[in-house]
Amino acid sequence: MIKIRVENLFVKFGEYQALKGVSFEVKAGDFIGIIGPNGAGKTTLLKVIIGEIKDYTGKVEVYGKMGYQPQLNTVNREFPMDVFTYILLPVYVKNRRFTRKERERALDMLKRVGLEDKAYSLVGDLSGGELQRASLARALLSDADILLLDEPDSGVDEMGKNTFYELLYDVKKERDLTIVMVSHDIGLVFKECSTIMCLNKTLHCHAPTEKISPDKLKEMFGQFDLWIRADKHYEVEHRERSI
Amino acid sequence: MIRDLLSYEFLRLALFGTILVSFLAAFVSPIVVYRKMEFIGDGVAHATFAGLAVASILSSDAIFFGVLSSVIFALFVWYFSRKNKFSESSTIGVLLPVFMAFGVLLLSKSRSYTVDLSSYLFGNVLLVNKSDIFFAIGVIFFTIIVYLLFWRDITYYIGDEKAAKFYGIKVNLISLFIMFFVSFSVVATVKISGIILMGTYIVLPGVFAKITSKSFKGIILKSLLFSLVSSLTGFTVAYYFDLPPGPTIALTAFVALLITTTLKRK
Repeated sequence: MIKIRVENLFVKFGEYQALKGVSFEVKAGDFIGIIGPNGAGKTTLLKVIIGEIKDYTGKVEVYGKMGYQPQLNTVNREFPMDVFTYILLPVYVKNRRFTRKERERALDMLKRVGLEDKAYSLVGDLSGGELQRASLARALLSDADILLLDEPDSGVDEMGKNTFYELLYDVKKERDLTIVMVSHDIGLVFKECSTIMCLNKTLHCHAPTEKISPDKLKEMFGQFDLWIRADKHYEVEHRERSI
Repeated sequence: MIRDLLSYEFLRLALFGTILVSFLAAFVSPIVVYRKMEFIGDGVAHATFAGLAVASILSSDAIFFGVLSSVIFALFVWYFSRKNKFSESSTIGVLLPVFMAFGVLLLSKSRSYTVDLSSYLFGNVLLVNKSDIFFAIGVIFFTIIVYLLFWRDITYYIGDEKAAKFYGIKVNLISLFIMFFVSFSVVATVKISGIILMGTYIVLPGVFAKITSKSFKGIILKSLLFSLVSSLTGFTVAYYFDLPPGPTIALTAFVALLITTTLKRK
């Protein structure tokens, strides 16, 4: 079953062409990693899908309810908002109030992401990994079946990342989620995602992870520092897996 | 002082006006500080000057023209920054001198140039009249209604605007309300603090509340406490030492903030 369909998408900001003729489909249950260098149009693509950018040509269709996790640095950590209020955002938008049932559901969700003891902590006091899980809890509370994650790892340490992806896999199975994730980290995408989309204004590849290699990526994108670094990361992970 | 308050209406109005403006500051200042809009508050204050100058030339209602010019300014800033045409600070930086220059040019043709300029720039609490009091009460009502209706929307708008927008909070509407809110508050405050000293009410209470509070409700209460105590103390000091109230309140507020910051560090 198709969850997202993008056909011949063009996005232009003034004279700058951000996306050129991008077409792809996302099927139910896919875990797609979108990778590409800075300025490749990854976040632009995500913004078109969530409806933040409306000025484009082409066709974008979404079949399902979307949950969105923006980059963590968009949160105003100075503002004293507790975690409980933070994750209840989609519930508030739907009902304009929090019923007892919804509050209990939110607490269950915090338990599910391992943050039950942080319910009344301030968002600004959370570590990067904890905030990442709180954002996931918020997205899940919206009853989304499609999750869109925009560089969820920025500012999160290795341990935090591991905990997050273990959790993500579990909830993906439990809820039959479809996930689209934008990332700079090519090694991570190879490790975690079932399908890889390589984007640099236009779509260079869209294939299952096992059918693509970092070498092939280098051929397509050239020797960017980013790819070399990420490639090393991949090699370490790959060796660990082989062992 | 109490005997004088009972005898002189202008003194009663000045005191009442100061208290009302402190209430306004308590609501508006935290948003300005947490949204990092300090420059907008300053810009709107300067924009008000153009309206006040027009009112002075026409011998017309200062509040009406003050609101008009500050709202026009705020709408320009809101439109250009929301549409990503220019950055918010660039738009303010361009428009601020334009509105101010327009006001100075107009006032230079007015007979009461020096008196008016000084009152507008540094405030003159003794010029507060009944219209100003009614206007301030109206703005406080407007503000309270907006807060009651949109308390959580404002919370999410300040806390995580991007996610708030995605999940369906009308962030453009909230930000427009806030722009109006800042504009009206600035106009209500301008006779007391003046344009130059506007930060006393628009920024300082919010900074104090940010240092001392751990919840949004606490922020509003602490902001109110700060603006009330510093305004009334400044007002009293100005009365007994025969000093201009605007600058005295500004310095009192600064000293209070300095003491709080020092105590907080210890």
